[in-house]
Amino acid sequence: MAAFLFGPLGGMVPLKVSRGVTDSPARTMSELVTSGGVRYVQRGRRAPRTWQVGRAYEGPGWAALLADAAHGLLGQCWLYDVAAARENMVPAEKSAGVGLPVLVDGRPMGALPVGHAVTVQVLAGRTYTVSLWSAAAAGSTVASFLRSPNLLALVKAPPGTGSRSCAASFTPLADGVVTVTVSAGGASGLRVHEGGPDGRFFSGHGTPCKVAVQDPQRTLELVVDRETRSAYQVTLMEVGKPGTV
Amino acid sequence: MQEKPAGWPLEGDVETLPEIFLELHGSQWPPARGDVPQGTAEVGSWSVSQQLTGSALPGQVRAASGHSIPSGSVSFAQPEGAPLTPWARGPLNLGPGGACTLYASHDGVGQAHGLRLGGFHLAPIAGSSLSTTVDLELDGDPIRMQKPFTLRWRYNTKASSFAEPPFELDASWVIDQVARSTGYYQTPALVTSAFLSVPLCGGTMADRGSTITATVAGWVAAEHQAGLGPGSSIDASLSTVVPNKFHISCDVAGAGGRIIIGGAVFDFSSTKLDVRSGITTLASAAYPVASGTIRRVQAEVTRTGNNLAVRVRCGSGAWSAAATAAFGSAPWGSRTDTATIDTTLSPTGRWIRGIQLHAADDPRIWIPPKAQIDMSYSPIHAAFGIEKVTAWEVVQDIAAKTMGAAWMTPGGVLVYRNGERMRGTDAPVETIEALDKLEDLAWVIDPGEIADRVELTYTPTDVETSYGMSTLWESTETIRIPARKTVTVYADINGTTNVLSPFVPLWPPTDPSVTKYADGRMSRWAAATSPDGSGARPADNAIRVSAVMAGVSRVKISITNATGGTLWLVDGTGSPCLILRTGLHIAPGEPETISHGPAVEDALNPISLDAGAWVQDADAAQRILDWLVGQTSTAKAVINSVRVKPDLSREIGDVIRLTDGHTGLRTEAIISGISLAGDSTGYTQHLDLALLDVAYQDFDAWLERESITTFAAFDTWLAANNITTFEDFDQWAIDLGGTW
Repeated sequence: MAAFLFGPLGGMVPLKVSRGVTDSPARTMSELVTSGGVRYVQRGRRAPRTWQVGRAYEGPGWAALLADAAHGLLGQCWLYDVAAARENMVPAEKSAGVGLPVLVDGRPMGALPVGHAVTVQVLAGRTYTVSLWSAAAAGSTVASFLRSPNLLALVKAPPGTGSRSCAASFTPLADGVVTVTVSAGGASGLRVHEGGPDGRFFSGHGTPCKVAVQDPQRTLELVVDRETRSAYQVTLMEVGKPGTV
Repeated sequence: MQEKPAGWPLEGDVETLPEIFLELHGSQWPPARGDVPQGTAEVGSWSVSQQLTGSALPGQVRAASGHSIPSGSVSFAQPEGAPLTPWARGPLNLGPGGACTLYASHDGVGQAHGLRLGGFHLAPIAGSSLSTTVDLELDGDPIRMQKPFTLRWRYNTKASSFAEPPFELDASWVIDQVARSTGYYQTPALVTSAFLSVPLCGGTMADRGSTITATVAGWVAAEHQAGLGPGSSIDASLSTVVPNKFHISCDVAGAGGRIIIGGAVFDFSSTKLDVRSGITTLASAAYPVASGTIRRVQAEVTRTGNNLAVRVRCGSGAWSAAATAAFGSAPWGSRTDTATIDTTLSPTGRWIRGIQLHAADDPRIWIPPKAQIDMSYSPIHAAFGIEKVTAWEVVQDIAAKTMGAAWMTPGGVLVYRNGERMRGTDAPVETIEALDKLEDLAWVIDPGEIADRVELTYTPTDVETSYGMSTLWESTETIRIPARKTVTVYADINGTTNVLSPFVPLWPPTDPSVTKYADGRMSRWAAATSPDGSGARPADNAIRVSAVMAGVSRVKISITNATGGTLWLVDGTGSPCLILRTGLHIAPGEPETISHGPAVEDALNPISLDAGAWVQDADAAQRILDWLVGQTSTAKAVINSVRVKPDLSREIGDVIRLTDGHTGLRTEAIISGISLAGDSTGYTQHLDLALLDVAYQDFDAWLERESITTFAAFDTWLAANNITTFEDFDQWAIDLGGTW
């Protein structure tokens, strides 16, 4: 199974990579130190990621799509990081709000306002789970999600008391978007992830995300009569605002 | 300080950066991108700065230009693939000019949850093929206020006796007139269905209908803003007769005021409306919500026969229950088209302004004010010498001459703050401890700020009262009026007047039953059938002349020839003859200079200020002189461009407390400049601070806090705190501004 899928929306294909991919989020920070030695920090709202992926001893087919993207032949390309999708596909800033704290997997996070909506790209044939944390009464609707074509489903609070994970799963038949809307107050820890309900919360950066591709770097390893083998290195830079399509 | 929008994160040691957006009003570009709609750009790097000048603030005693215009710059990323250029088509086509708003948001795009950083218009825009950004310069010049300003003018003072009339205006009224004419309303804008609108913000002139005579006992401030104080009465003429159903909207404070229509008295107090016949209360309706010092209230009046049904509200919300006042006879006749605004009767403490009588309900009454104009405390008879200047220049000139300051807030509100408040009498909005909040505390004091002699020049008015014998203007050219035609001439007069004497022929009336006026009285005309004055004298009614005030010092004279032949306005000798006279002539007098300190020849470092005709009252001039003397007796420190832990809600003009644990500084200061600059890594805020003197208010607040109400108690306190010498007392008083 590939760890990444890459390509234009609706045409993403698996991208096999060697182990050792680095994913480095870069959050901007600045500081002010007062004359009395008090430090204040400002930090960026988001930490755009950069991936270094590579593969050794591959033919030109491996890098074909990446090269097309780098040349600008494909329009906007997206990267679906499977590991990140299993944690949370919703960007962190859309997972929690500024309302009264709600215990999310044991951590206090601000409640989301009613009507708060987030849109996530999903791929056909994979199982996804929408979950969020709330102390709502068992059976009450906490959120709803709409996926193409016009399928509305509800996320309801499970039996029990106290803040607990309310989840609903689905498996889309085609690539598309799912829009989750919070329907009750006192909910936080919004998560859409690939996989079944697991009662956990992880914050995410937004997956899949738009990327800019730098031209693949090639180190020739073998050139014989009919084939060429090279080691490839590509840098993928996250662009745009996560959580928007 | 600006109020932060709901949901804005609390101040903390780690701040997540807000997103900064530039909204270009009505613009096609930039195109929509992600969740950012067309016409809005998410900004990369940006800067905004504004400096407050004027009012003899420390550091500016000699350089009070009065101008305070924000400026800024932003850059945002070019859309990928299809860059914005001046020669592109559709939404990629850049155009300069246009209004825009810069705002910060923690809740995505949209000003509803944003904090405004300023309203601007676009100055030059720059880009290049190699650059990934579009760079814009922002100019905060209030464009609407750059047009030449013409003051609509009517001087209402009752001239029933030969006593000098009281000052009818506060100088701030002129600012209010400028503001209204450019769309910045302190009291509601004129609503469409109004048949009387009198703002009463320091002046008696009406927007709709007209005020006829006014006895103004004085303007009084509520929340620093001028309104009609006790003891005043204004008769107004309505633009239509009083309909059977109408609304009365007004701002009231204290004991409010009365509006009298026919035999019905509508008495708006701070809590309720009483409907009276004479002194008998027939009905009362309490305001459903009543909070704040100035209350905007509205009554709906429905007349059925002899009965009036009234209900009231504060704001666009629910009405009170209706109350019915049963009058013995019809409260007013079907042709009634006059009303009286009155604050003469008890209780004392009356205050009213912003009166509109309007037929239909109108939501514009409840639009939040876009102007905050303090009362200037400079009473004037008239506004002289404001021809051929822009609206903004008028505002800045008045601000500078009355020791106040005027500026536009980031929220787009026009502010005029009077000299009293610029001294820092407002309660501080925050405390800044230098060690904790400032990167450095760099101060400067300038000996140039000290003066041993202070001179102030002001312009008292000359008031001439007579039985229509003061000549305002005489024609110098022969005016030719063709048969049955009307010729209009504009006469520029010196000063102004409330009433122009009617025109009568130069010669005694032919008809002995017509009143004969003494020579030298009344406005006069003479006409002849030839330009040299020869020929038969025309009839007394051959010429009809009417004159109205077209400006403060401009009269529009319309002359109609009622005969079948051409007439020339000349006397028997062929000299031009059209004379305009008045019974009350008010004109700028000789400038008067008052001073403090040694004689001119002994002064080492004198300072002089010319307040022009914006100060006409000797008491106001003395008060301004005292303030200048206070400001220049010692050099005050200023702190320029010091980096502070940023807070986007700070505004220039805010009074803060400034303390420094290292140097022992404890004082109040006014924010006289703010510079903001930011990019993706963060943003910085630099403040200019002018340190303020201890104000009487500080002492007053201290007395209240210590519950000291008698001199004896004060003595006891001084002894108990070992303040036994004048030196101790001086030090204590200096520190007082910082004790809290």
